[in-house]
Amino acid sequence: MSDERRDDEIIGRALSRAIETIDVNQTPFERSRIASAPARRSIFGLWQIATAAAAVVLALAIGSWLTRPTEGQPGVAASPTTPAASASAPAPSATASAVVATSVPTWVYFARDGLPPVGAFVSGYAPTIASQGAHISERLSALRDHASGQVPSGASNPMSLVATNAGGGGAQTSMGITLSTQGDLATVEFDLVPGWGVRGAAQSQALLQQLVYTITEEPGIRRALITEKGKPQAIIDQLVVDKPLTREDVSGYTARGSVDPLQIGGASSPAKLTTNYSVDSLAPGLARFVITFDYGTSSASNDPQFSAGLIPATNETTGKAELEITIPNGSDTTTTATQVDRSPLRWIAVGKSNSIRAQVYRLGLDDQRPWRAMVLSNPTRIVIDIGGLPRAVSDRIAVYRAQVFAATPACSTTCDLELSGAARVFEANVVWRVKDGAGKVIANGHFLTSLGTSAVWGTFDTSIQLPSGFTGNATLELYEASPKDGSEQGLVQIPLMIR
Amino acid sequence: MTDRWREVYEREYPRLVRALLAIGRDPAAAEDAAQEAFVKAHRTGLDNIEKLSGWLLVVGTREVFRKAKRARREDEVWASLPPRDDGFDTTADRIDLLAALGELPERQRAVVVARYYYGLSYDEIADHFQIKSGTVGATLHQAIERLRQIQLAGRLARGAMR
Repeated sequence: MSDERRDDEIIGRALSRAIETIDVNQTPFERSRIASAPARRSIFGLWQIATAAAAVVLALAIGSWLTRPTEGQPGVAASPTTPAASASAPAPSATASAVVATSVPTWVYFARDGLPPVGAFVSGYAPTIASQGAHISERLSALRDHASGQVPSGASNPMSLVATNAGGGGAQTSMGITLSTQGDLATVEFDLVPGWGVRGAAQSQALLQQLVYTITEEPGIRRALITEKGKPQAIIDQLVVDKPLTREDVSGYTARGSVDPLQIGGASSPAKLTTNYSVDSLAPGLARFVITFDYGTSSASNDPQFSAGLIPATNETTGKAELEITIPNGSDTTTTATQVDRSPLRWIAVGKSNSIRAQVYRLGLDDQRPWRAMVLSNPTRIVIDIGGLPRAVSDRIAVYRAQVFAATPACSTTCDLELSGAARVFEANVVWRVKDGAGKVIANGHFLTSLGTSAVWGTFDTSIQLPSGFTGNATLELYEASPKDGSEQGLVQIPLMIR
Repeated sequence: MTDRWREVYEREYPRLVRALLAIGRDPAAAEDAAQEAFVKAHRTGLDNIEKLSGWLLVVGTREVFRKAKRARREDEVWASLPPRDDGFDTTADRIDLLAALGELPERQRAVVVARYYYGLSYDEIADHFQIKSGTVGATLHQAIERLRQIQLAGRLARGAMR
């Protein structure tokens, strides 16, 4: 087979798989139109000859219609070597029966200590009924019954501990879970035997996060109400759940990502753009997207014009939020989207706005977690950071790294705390203090970030000195002193262990 | 006889609806067309139809196109996009492929679905759709090339011009 033919086959098979995943109403035979049609015994009845002839005419009509000249298509940017969906599971035969249950990659969430849940594909089974409730139930079932051995490193699966009354042990068909959906709300009632199976605040919170994220993965569903059969509310160990929850309610961040679009003035000189991204490498739970500017021979600008903002996700894409970045006069030659599927970053799409001649990027995200934009120079870069460790992130301060460095093996003489991150605070001034285990302040001070109050954040990479001789548990606190009254704004608290 | 029809119906119906939905992009029209195709098959009689699945696809496709011609507007085509998918294997690629398929000329859509989803041979396609067998390969290649080009661009263009 030629390369060309093989490429065609790959796309064809991917398309076949895509068609196979379309939801259809499977009208039962009893309610089909032929079930109520009168039986015809005579094979050569006159009317049948007439309709058979009509069928031939129809086929001819289609034939002539099919071979008519094609209409003009709207112009679109070409993507000559799109890999399509060829990277996923082996293709089922194109002629396979549509009703066979096949294992499909199913996106579910696992819990991480001190972090929002992390999504991953596990093997699940496509539901036989096409409804939101059936999909949610199948995801939960995949998580509880099939996910063992597929848990991402550093994550846990508290859902595997939940024992429900599955009715005769048929766990695959009945989970002991009742689903209903209304608008953007999914109500999930658990018939538990004998309880949730989780212990302690951390594990309860982890299970709640996992449930809310996995349930709201369903397109159109943003809120999950978790209930227990026969009870007015769900009580997961000590954790009382009595109202619908969104992903943002349980993600652990104190702030929500700003929905107001950020408009940055600056220069809009024509520039070639390239991008890269990372997840979890700078800080846990942090996705970074970097757009690098190449101004060619013209003088470089360190002050690019752009806008960025969160928009609600459409049902056509995965994720619950999209971050859109628009760069006037920018131009990226990339024409393919990237499927990332690493929480919180699901995908990256590149496009052009015809109306305002700008390069547009869209990042598909798990949720509306806090995000920030920075501008770096040499070369000029726009850096978009999404998330981070929730306890180290507020609406104006985000600490990516806090590491104790001892000059000697222990901190008995001098000891430095290396800090890096980003902040958007008044006059670029970040105030810090370190408290001992009893809450007493043992050191304090302030440092400057690269930028003062502005729409984009400043960065910091600094070192603060800890008092000599101190060892044990401590808490580092960072905040902005309000320009109005000096009150503490955007406080973050990071536990430290000083040896 | 009813049992035989039931067996045929349960085997062919879901696949037919999916194929017609992929071709026409309107769930209600796809179901209606699939039901009509079965009614026509029923009237014709199982013994009179040589290759039933291909026959159903051709008759169903005809029904879909007949309905679509009545009221066709570009934004309606998008408005009737099926839900993201069944919620499984939810990669943007699949959605893009289906969306891209919707942008192909109708005849290419039908031939692509017949070949790759129904697994019909070139000869069968030529036979069922009354086109020259020599042009089936070229039509398919042209369609796939076009799919490749627009599968992502379509979504991006919609996003950027929001």
